[in-house]
Amino acid sequence: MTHADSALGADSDDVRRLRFALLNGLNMTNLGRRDKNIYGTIASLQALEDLVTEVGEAVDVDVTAFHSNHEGELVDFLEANPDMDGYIINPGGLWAFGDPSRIALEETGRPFVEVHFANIFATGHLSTFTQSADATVMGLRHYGYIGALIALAASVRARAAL
Amino acid sequence: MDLKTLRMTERRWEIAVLNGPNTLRQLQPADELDRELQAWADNLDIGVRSFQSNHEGLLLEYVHATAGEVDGFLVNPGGLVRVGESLRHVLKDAKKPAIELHIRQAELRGSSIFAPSVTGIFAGPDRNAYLGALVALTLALDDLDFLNPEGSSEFNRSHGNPRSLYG
Repeated sequence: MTHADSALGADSDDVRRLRFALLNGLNMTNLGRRDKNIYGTIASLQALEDLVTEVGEAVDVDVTAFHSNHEGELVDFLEANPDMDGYIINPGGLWAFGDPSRIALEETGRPFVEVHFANIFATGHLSTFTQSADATVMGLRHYGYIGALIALAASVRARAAL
Repeated sequence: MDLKTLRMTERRWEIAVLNGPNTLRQLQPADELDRELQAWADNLDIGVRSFQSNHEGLLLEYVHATAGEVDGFLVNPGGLVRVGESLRHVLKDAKKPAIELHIRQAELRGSSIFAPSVTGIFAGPDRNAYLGALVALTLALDDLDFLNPEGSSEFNRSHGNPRSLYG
């Protein structure tokens, strides 16, 4: 099987089921009511979590979605669930100062992808998560989550096959 | 999986993949990357073409020649990440969505001159960045409100529009 096939979770029995956590940070609960110029047409955080979960099912990834407006709860979640195969986080308002969350992600020792709806580099800022993440995706609205999920699943499987 | 099931239109977008200086070794074997890109594009039902050069001038001429034919660019600037001002400029002038792409996310950290003026960024993980970026850009192109700086609807992008680094 070539990498191109395995990357897409080709319909064979030897594709390992993966477990990813999807974390959304501060203010993401307000998604449907935020600036549509930046956040697009996605209706709500629930719609976003459902979408990512659905795509996960199609590529044999169980997605556990978690969100909080309290950074401590994100850290609690990560400490309670350190054994996922990968993490996808949109830190929301934590992008600038979310060091406790970033360190908790580092401490899992598992790969994580940082996703932002907007290209925050275009605003002249650097996210604190960028220094630790295995991948950074921004500027692609909710489609970035889908790309991140598929790329991370393919990457974890390729590493496991080595 | 069948990536077509994620799509919202049946438009056959054409995406150009540019790989800059010093990427050749990273991407070994290069013909396998081309095969993978083709397989993923077939799965998405889009067209893809790719071009690698160590010469910035050739990358520029490729963008000049193809900007009218393609719907978006995926650009791995390689060694130009900090210094490719001309490539950055030609991508702005192309007025097509451009996604900055890196195989290693570390290449992005704080030093890219492309990041502020591209539509989006897809950095890592490893060569699967090409897969993720191809999927995300295709879905974004399918969403006609999105990535269209002129704005066909009431929504306009306020982040990631091409803009001057110096303005």
